[in-house]
Amino acid sequence: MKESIVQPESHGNDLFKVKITVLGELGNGKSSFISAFAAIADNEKLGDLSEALKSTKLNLGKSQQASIHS
Amino acid sequence: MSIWDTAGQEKYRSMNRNFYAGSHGVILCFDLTKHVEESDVMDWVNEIDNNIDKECFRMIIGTKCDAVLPTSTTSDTLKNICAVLSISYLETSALTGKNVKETFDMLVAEIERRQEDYKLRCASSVLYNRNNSVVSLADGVYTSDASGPNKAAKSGTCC
Repeated sequence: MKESIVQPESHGNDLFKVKITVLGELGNGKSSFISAFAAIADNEKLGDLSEALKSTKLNLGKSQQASIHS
Repeated sequence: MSIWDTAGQEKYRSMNRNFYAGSHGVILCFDLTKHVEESDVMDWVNEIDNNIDKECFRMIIGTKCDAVLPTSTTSDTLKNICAVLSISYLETSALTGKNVKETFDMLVAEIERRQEDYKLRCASSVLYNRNNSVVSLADGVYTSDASGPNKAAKSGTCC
């Protein structure tokens, strides 16, 4: 069963539940693209991105899932 | 927010469906330094459309824009398809950082907008309570209407 974009009971911290998937063929630069974003998220205040992303740290895990932890 | 980096090999394509099902946003990457056929792009778009929620925000990005040759037609191919399908398109470079932040800005803004729309749709809808009377959520105040389901059916139900 497909999930809907927002669960009905979700409230203020919806953005923390957001899942983004990066797709493409081998060698297209997916991982580099994510790493570049990780570097920006780690080293910059992202004023335009969202309030929820401020003061967060992004780590690339072994499971190929990058998570932002508050 | 979680970002899932999927395997690119063809043999893992079916496995990736499990990852992007339930996503709020999907970024489809194409290498601007390689030749891309329109059919390749359409295959990916159809593959995504068949496996994601209709509310999911799709986006196509061209990667390695710092290394594109002047004779490359990949950029034009992607732009044309995105224009036809109304899909957002950006050209990015992980090397220079061009449009990397902008991609996520756009993605998050659109996801937030869709979440707000969803909440508004729910708030302006009507629900039934256990007594089968209409409960209006429009003003954040429960107002009971004992006229039953027929009247509510005309007003529409939540999602």
